[in-house]
Amino acid sequence: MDATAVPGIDACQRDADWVVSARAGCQQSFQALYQNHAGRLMPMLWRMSGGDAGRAQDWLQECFLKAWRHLDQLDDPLRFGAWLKRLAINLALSDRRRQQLTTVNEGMELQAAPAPPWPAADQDLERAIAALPERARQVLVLFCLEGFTHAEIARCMSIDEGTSKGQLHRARQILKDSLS
Amino acid sequence: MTIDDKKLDQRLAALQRECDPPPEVWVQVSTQLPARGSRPAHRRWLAMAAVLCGLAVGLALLLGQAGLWQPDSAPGLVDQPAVPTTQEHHAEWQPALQRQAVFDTAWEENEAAIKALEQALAAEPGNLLLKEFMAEARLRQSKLIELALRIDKLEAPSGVQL
Repeated sequence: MDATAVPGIDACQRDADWVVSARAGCQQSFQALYQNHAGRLMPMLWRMSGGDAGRAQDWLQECFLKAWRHLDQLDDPLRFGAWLKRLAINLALSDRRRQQLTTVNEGMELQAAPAPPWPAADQDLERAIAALPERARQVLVLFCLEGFTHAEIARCMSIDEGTSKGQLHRARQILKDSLS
Repeated sequence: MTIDDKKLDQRLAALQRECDPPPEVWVQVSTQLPARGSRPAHRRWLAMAAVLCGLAVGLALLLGQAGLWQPDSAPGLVDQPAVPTTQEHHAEWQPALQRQAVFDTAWEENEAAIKALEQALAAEPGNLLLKEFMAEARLRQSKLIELALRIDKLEAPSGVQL
């Protein structure tokens, strides 16, 4: 399954030009980067948050602030999109890890399953994903929707590949049961 | 009865991957963006302009010394010196060496200014002020080349040992 949209060369070059300008302090160029990428990150973050729109927006905001601060660390401006996505995922995962230190209750998520804040065609599936247990949901989003491999997921989430595969199987089984 | 894997994959693949960027998030982001770089952009341009002005003044002095440029004055009204003595030859040669040093400095500074302007224009290709600076720097570059050709023709005056 090809879950990741590969941006064209022109789009990457346009991003790179904006990155160069933003590095020089041009906020208009950074705003252009936001306009071009925030809409791609938002559905992913909303799903990773379990349907918490406020939290997803907080992550999005923090992601762009961090990107602005660390633009100089981006080696290849042509790969801004991939860099930004990885930044957003790391933020989401680290924030969820912090939360888990205080509240470990996956069962709660089965109770509330909000609809996404955009006109979604498959609301049932969106709700079912949002209601998945934490780690199973993260693995499913990264593997099935963002095109990560199990090895990449294992690195991101500090788990081993076997755990990633197990969580994916669990997520898919829950989805199939809930959608039947 | 549960749906099969193929059907689940099809529905997952059909999920929306993009939505409108939330404008309220950008409002929050834009109010928190710290200034990038050690100096704001407008101050960098002012500093660059000051450097270029300094270069222009130095170049004018240099050109004046080399005789390539004279302020507006009626030709022929300035008295020409008589045939110089050996001491006068020496005194004439020393400024020539100084001119060479001044030339080298002016050339390096102008080249550095051109490089900085090229980088700035890459970041802001539509900046008219930068384009104007670049045109001036290129003009100075051509004048310096002309001057270099003139300096190369200079020879040590007779009676002066280096």
